[in-house]
Amino acid sequence: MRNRRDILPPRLAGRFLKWYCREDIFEEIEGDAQELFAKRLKEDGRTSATRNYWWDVLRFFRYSNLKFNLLPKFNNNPNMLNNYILSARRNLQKNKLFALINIAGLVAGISGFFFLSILAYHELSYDEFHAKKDRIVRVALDFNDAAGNTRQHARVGAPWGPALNESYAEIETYVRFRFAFRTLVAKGEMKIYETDGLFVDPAFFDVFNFNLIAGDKNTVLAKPNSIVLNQSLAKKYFGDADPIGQYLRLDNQLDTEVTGIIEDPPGNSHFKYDFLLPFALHASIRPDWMDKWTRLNYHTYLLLDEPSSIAQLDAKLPDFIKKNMDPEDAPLMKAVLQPITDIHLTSHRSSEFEANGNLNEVRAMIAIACFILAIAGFNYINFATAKVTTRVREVGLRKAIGATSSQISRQLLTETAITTTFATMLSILVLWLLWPAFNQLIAKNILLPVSELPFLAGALVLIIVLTLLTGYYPALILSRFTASQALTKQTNGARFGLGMRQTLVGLQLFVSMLILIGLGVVLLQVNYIRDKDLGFEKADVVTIPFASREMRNAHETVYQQLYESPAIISAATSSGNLGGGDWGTSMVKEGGNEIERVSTRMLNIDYNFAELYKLEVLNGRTFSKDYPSDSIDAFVINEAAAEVLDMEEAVGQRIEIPGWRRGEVIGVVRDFHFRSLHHEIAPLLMFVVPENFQALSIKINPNQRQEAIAHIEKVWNSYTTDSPFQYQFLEDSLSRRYVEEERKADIIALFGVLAMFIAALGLFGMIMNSAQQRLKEIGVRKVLGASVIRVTGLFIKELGIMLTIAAAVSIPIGAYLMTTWLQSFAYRTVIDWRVFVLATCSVALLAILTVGYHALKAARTSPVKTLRHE
Amino acid sequence: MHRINIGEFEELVLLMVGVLNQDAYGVAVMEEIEEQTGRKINISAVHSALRRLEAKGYLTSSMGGATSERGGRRKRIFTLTHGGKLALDQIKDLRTRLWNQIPNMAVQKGN
Repeated sequence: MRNRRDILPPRLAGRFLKWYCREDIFEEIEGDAQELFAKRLKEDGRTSATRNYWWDVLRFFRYSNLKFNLLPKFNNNPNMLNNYILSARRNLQKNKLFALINIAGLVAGISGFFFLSILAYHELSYDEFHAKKDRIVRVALDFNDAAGNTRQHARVGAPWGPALNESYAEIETYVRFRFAFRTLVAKGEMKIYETDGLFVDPAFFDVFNFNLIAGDKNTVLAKPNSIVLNQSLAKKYFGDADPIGQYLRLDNQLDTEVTGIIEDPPGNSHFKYDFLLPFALHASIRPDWMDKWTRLNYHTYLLLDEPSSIAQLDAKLPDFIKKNMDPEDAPLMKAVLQPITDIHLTSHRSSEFEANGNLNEVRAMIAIACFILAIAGFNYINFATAKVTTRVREVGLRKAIGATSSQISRQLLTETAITTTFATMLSILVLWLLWPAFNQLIAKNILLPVSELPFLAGALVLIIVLTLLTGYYPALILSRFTASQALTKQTNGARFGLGMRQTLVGLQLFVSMLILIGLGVVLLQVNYIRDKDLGFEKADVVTIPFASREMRNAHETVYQQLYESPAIISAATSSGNLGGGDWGTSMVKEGGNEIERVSTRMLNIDYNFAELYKLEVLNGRTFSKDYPSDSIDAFVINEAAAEVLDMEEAVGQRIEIPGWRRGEVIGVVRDFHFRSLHHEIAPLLMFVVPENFQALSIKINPNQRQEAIAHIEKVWNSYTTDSPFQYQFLEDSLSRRYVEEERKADIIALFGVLAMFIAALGLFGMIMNSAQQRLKEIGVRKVLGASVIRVTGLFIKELGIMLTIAAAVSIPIGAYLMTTWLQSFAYRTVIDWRVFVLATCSVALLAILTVGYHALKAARTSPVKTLRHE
Repeated sequence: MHRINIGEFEELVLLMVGVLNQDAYGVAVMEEIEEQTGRKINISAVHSALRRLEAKGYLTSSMGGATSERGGRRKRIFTLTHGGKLALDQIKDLRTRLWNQIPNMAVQKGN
């Protein structure tokens, strides 16, 4: 006889059907399925019947058969909707403090989300506006040295562009950029130093999408003395007058004719410009650079015939290098093609136009945005769940007069929708009000996209998602009560959802601690960078360039003129200012072979330099006029250079920079940060070549700043009549190197504080609520003789357990996350254990104060009030 | 004239309910369709169509008897409403009218 189990359909499938199927149609569906099973069992056997039964059950799993109401149906009577809105308004009004906390939290969360997502969108949109963006690539160069270091250059030599274009058919055209550094632009008596000029090839307008407002793109840069201004610069020099055909004098020597006006580059272009000059002009100034393959001064962009050519061209580049480069250099070089839209977020080479963004940071931004929104959403769920107690009577009454569960859900979801819509609109208002300040904070000029369709669509999606995610759970809980449960005295909901609520408070504590830990470490690192000893004295140093060649040649005389004022302490010159005035080459021990070459930085300084900056001499001496040969064949090196050259006793040994200079090491100085702290201290060679001095460093008496500056200006004016005087404090220009970091820290701090604020609101609301819910319990305890202190202590003990758990989880996670973050700095602070203590204690303090306050208030209420029945 | 909006499959199901007279429930309709047209269809599709037709007012239903091979579950028996009958008539009329308007020329012999 057959086993009874064999003639029954699979149990699991049956249970699954029962789980999902609407009750009113379950019977007929299961009946049909079983009937089919029985027939197939007879005809096809058990295996096939079972398989088909499963298949049928799965096929019945369709939206119209589901018992769950995934989406509320709002198609009923508009009067009902009016009633929902009315009761939503009354509910918000009934407990104003609660409503305020609730909406404030949502507004903070939503505005934070908007700010960050607009910023992230902006970062991701770089260079997307070029119509040919998928065909534009930049040629960059990797250069290896013997020590295994790779230097990544953003630029290549002048011949690269034309030669590539000629060699490969897939390249349609090329554009080379050359910075026009610090150009004195003069219109009559108006003379201003402009820094953002570019020499560009004529194909500029064919490759990139910048609109010419005036002028013809085929001819604007045809004449070598033409200049194209952007709108802002045109306005600056010409106001409302028509600049076309007018003349501007550059660097007191070249008259250029304005031939075109171009729109300002948008904020999401990875290069910016104020004016454009023809590349031919640059070529006529520097004809000797035009055939130098390794004078890496030119950002070079290629326009390809189609996107797929990038890979093809990439494969051909090694041959190109072999053919054109010095046979010695060729094996060390690797050309890289960078699609233009990738440059802003992924390229961090030397000589980028500006500090580029970072894909990880954009991801972090998106994560923080979602995180902030999530905490705000959590708060909402918390509050709504906590309010179950107060609303359970209302639900009971509604049910008693005939409301169904789904109607109750609908009503509660309508309430949530109203709250989120209101909060979103308020957030947009906040966004609009704070936008200028925000732009200033991030130092960008992003337009607030409130009137743009994607933004509005996004806001709408946000409202819907937020409503469903935050409204669903509370609605589910409340609508589950039956009328009799809700209306009888026993159910006041106090026990209901308690575990859930404790979890949420714990989560709230955990999140707050995590945020504070993150914030603490970020601030530590910023302070560390700000206060780090750079190894030289940077205070009270004024830097100016030389006004003219005559002034440079007479720099010794200039010193004497400067010293006439008692406000000037000392003066020195160098090839460039500390913090970026050095440049790179490779060096080798004299007599060493090619293979042993290592890369090094170089700085050209005069005899006073080491003294002015108080560089610490470890061995030997610094440059001195007493040794005439110091300006011919002497080097002072830093510790890093001695180490990389493997010289224990460096002084007296000889090194050479192949192809340029050889000489004896006369001294070793302690490592100092001649570049910004983004870079580890590299090997450094210092020497004296007076013809190449560019910058004057003047140490002044800090108590006589004004006299000092006035005196320096007087000396400057005695060497030039047509260049205006400009000076900088070294400290300012150094700290400008960390503007990006400080800005990021500011942004992180701002949103950390915002998240903290939301979390604190949530904590406050939760605790307030749970205290209110336990009024009866407190009443009973007091009747039985508990003191106010004991009752309060009870609350705090409970909180203490949750605090301990939260701290135990958040500290290791926070430590791990922040250690990972710190890895991105060459010089990083160690995470101080006090950060953890401080974070835990502040959260604990906030929580205990809130709990204490509410517990005390509850504990002092007379039990008569809380225990009395109506 | 009231517009009849039913799909091809719904029309088929509606016809089968008519054919089966007092005996139309999910499995019966499915088997009838398989037998008469040779189409393989899934039971869930039949159920959906039946319920849609009921919502449109072409069918009405009541719970019928249970059998042991259904695990003791009752059937939902569907019957044509007056509206359903009218709808079938209208569809048929429309078809016939259009069919008669096709000139013989247009029907080419298959080759």
